[in-house]
Amino acid sequence: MNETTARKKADAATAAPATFRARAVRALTDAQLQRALANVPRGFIAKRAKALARLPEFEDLRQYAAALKRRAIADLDVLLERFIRQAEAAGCHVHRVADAAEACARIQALLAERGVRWVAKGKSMISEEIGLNAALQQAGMTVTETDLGEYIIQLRKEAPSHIVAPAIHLTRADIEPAFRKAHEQLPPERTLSSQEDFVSEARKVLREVFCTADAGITGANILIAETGTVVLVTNEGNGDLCATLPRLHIVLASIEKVVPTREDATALLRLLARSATGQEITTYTSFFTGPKRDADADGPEEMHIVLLDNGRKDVRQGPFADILACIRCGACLNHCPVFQVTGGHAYGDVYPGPMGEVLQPALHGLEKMHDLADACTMCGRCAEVCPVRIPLPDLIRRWRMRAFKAGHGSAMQRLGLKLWARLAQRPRLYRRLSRLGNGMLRFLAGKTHFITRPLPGLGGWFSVRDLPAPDAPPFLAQPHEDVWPDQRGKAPGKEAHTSLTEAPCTKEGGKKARAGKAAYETLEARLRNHPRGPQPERARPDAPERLALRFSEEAEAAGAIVETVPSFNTLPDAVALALKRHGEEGPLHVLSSRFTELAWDEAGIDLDPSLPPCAESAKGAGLILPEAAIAETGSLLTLSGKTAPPTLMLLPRVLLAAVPVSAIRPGLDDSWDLLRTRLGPKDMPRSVHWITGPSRTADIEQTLVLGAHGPAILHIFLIKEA
Amino acid sequence: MTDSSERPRTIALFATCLADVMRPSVPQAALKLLRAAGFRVSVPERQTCCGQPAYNGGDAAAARALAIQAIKMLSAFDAVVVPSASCAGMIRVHYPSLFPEGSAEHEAACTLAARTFELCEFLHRHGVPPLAGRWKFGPVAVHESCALLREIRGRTPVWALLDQVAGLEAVALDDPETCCGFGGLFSVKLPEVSAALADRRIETIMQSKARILTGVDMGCLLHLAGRMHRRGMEVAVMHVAEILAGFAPVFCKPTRIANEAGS
Repeated sequence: MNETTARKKADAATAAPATFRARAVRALTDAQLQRALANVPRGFIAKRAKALARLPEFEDLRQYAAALKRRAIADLDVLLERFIRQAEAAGCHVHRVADAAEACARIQALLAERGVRWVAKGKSMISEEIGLNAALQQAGMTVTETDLGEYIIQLRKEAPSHIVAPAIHLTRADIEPAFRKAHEQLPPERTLSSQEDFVSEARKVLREVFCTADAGITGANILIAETGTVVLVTNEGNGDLCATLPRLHIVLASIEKVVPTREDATALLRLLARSATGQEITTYTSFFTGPKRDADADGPEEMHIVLLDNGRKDVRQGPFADILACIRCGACLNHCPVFQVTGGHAYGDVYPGPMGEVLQPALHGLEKMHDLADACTMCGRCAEVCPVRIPLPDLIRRWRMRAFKAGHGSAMQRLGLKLWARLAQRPRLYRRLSRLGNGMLRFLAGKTHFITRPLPGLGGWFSVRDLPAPDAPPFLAQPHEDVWPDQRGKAPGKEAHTSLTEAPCTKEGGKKARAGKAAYETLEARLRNHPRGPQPERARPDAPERLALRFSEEAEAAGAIVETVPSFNTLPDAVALALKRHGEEGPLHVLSSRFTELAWDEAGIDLDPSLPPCAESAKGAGLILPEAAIAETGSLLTLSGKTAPPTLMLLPRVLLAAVPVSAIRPGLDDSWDLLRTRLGPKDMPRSVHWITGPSRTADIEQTLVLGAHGPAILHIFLIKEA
Repeated sequence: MTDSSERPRTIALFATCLADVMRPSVPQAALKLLRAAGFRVSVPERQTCCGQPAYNGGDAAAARALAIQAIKMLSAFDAVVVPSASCAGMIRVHYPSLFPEGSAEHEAACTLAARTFELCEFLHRHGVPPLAGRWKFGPVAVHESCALLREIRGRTPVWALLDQVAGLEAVALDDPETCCGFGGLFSVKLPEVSAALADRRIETIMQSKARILTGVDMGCLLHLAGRMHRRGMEVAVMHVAEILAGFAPVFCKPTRIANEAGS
């Protein structure tokens, strides 16, 4: 791949037309793009609606998360200070950087000092924001994107067109030439037609990248101040591989990602995947705290966290601060009518759709971005679906007001708007002119009742449509006896007799400015009490067999196989059958000592007590002992260490997991209580994972394919008697 | 000061600038419906525009000036009825946000907001029956505008009122929540995108087999009618008020609405 991976973003940008309108027109006339975009409604929108229908508590969660994120932004300084302190205590190096240039330079220096030649990257919008790949490539390093969507657009030397699904603008026909060109070892006769073909080809090629890269760079979905933890969600498992296999793990995150506690992270996570892809939770939800510990079987020697400001502190002080609450779910993009027909590239930079319309001008200045605010019909759907209730149309309108004040945009349209507003403030003149205009329209339309020839100044209207003409004089100009006689004399509108202070507003009022002084104390209290967000009904405590049932249903819905076995002693036979069923011959990679005494020989299973070979992507089986299982989402809770090292969970094609029924916990938040009891109030292992179903991707045409980078099969054994 | 559920004594009909000039039969129909139900309705003579184009166009000062003009003109009435969800939404949702909290203007805007109703919402709340006789023009597709769905949250009254018209089959369109692409100034600033969105809505109208399209926002309806006419399609576009008041559609190409029929 080498030079072919060079993203010539600058070139692409200069090639693109300068205005949103021109870029949108180009997108509208691109038939291939329109075919690809047609997948959005039946994919993301339908799946999100289905996920919400399954969670009656969604609106409560949304309210809670909205307040939580705003509070976190208000308390940002204290939260960051705490986060940094905790991350450093866990062995991380934290770098605060002001802007894109400093971020790129710092990361490049970190890599160069350690002799890094090859970087495996997890998906990171911040890295797109700062143009990291180009910077590293210029310094002679090879950078390979490992998220399938990002990988595809990297091969095509494009920018992502969606913050969650970067290659949503492409179809298989677009992708095949890029694969054939980059994958030199791919025989021409090998067919690349189904989505599965592409995924298995990418899996093979990228597995080598994971095994060879000297450094992994990932983004962060959330930062947790309480423990100095970085939260990363993926469906493919590529983020975890980037974070685990190379000796150096660098996290690139923007400062507004920080929340106080693990429970706060849970509250956001319950919204994130549902809003983004319509999943209950992503397949891999991982919590990284510091580098590899002595007891860990895998993990990086060093962990660095680069915290980027890039204008966010200024945004926080201004009227657009609400946009910092954004959790990057992409729901506003998916539901935006304009995005649906133009795709993301029309927005001209990294963040498209409604959130981009607000964020881009805030980060890059209105001068370059003022026409983005026009790319909105004010339909309000984005605000309705936003999981943290950002009033996106209001913020977009606010940019329009700034642009208007600053004199941006078409002088003609501005003048028209001003004249109209002036006229509307002079009712008599207005009445005369509207009567005149109405008469002209009727005259022009004649008997056809439609005006089809463009009227001066209305070229925009007539370029795509005719104008239905009125069929009578203006209503207000008609001599209507409709006014009740006694009202006519009274003419209530004529004098300004109305008291302007009649009653207080009973509508939703604005919020009172919050007193900032208590930030630290309240954070302390929150850290001490770590309150849970609204708990879904499905997270309620219950009898063990009930929890087992709930767990099984949820895990199966996520694509896992769940089988109940009577005891650990009967596990080897069940495993033997499962391996046969999944076409695996062994050896079975097992690291947990809990399993070693079992009668594997009798079941004909060859145990291998080491981690599986990295490069093998097409076969292999591993068995892990999760710490617990979560009924709410059908997830397995695993901790780095010896019993379930991340590498063992990710590399084999078939992953087996044995969980005693007694280890099933009701909800996601029970993970945190369990860890507090086991490890202490603030301690986290190198990594904690919620694994929900097998690895997957839907990056090609929104079609689900299992086994992206991690296991294609997840087979869970519930052990009745532990 | 009346409770909003009580029968208001004085009503102002806010015709909206667009309907006033481009489709005068809409406020006419509204007036007819309200009067037939015995309401005392005034049509304040000095009304012009609610300020929505200025507001969404970024001209905050003009929006504020027009809001103050409307507030002064309309505050004397027990209720203000608007045959447009987006203009009613402008008054109800956005006027208060134009003025700093605690200001006299803000409070007046809030007071007016609480008394402002989209026409169908008002008719439904006060049990005003349709005046239309038996509907004999075939199925009617209903375009639920964004302001109706998300600002007024008033889809129920529209369907309930149409349901009361004997013989009228109101048809729901596929993907009702997605914008038709009008968006006020959006329709002239980004006409190509606007048309692409209109075409998606038109496709659902064609699928519905209905040959009449109705809704409560003239902006959307003129935009869709103009686009359909440009594309050579014959669909009659009617405001819900026109249907309820007993006006009839005319199908001759090009689409137009005849004057009151059957009266």
